[in-house]
Amino acid sequence: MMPEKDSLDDPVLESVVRELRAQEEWSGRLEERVLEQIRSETAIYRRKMRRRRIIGVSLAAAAALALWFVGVSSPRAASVHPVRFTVRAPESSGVSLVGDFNNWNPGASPLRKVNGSWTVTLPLRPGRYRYTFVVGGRTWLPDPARPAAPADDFGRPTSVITVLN
Amino acid sequence: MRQVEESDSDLVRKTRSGDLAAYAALMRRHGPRLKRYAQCLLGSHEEAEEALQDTFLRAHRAITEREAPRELDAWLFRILINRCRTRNGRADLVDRSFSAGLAYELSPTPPDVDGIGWRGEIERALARLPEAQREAFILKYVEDFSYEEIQQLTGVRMSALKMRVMRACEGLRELLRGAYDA
Repeated sequence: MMPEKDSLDDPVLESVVRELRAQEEWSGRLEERVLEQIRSETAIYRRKMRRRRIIGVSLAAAAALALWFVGVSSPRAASVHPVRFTVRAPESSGVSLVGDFNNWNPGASPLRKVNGSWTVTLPLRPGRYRYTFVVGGRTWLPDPARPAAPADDFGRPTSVITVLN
Repeated sequence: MRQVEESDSDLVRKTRSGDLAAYAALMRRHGPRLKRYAQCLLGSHEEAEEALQDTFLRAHRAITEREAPRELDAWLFRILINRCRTRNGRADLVDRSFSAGLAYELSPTPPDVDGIGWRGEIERALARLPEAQREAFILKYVEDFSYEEIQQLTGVRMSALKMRVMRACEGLRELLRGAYDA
């Protein structure tokens, strides 16, 4: 066991410690560099969290839809297929999807923006569905990639998709 | 009117709610001592500042994302010790103890004590100590931590710590005796 000695009892070492302890200057530049980096990291973190929230809402909506379909469909359980809906609307601030599968509820299936396109994937059971995109919360935009359905009772354009078993 | 200084825990609480001025105050309060440790250990002003910057960034992330530390001073030191160890272990950094030793060996004449001064001699001697001894000596005698505290900070066993401090003292005494007497 080594003896514990708190004092140095040596003029050389005491002088070393005095010299090393004297060095205590603080740099305002360093402080500013740290703060600048924190500001930048905070901005990136906030953007990431916003994206995560949007994805979370989409996933929750998809899960809710899946459960809803399980509940209302025929006792003969049919398989659920992931169906991707995509529309290009780079200028738009938000796009959602409404259709037979979500009771035409504009808040149920928000799309996520990826490189100027908006996209969402929904689990759908086999069947035929009418749907449309709602751009900027107001404008109905039928899916250019799929056949148009006859206009609804109010004359609004919709598309149609058939999910096969 | 005298201003009451805010406690560490108050400043940490404010930092957690996004107050950067509070974090700056914490840096000003703890920074000088941390910087001194990093500079003594790493021997370079630039490397010390980088290690310290890294420490304060990691500490800020931890404070805002996880729970706040109870003893801020020791907690910051623990982060810094690990950052310094990582820096010393990096392959792209020059091995200072080797370089310093080589400089002595290759020098045809004894080191120019007057040219580098007492401070320079100390830095050169510190650089020649093994890193573990340097770390233990600085924590014990420059930063004035007890052996129990150093054990908690470094995770090194008490007997090994005492041995390292003793060896560091012997090494420094040996390396500096001539320059001190001159």
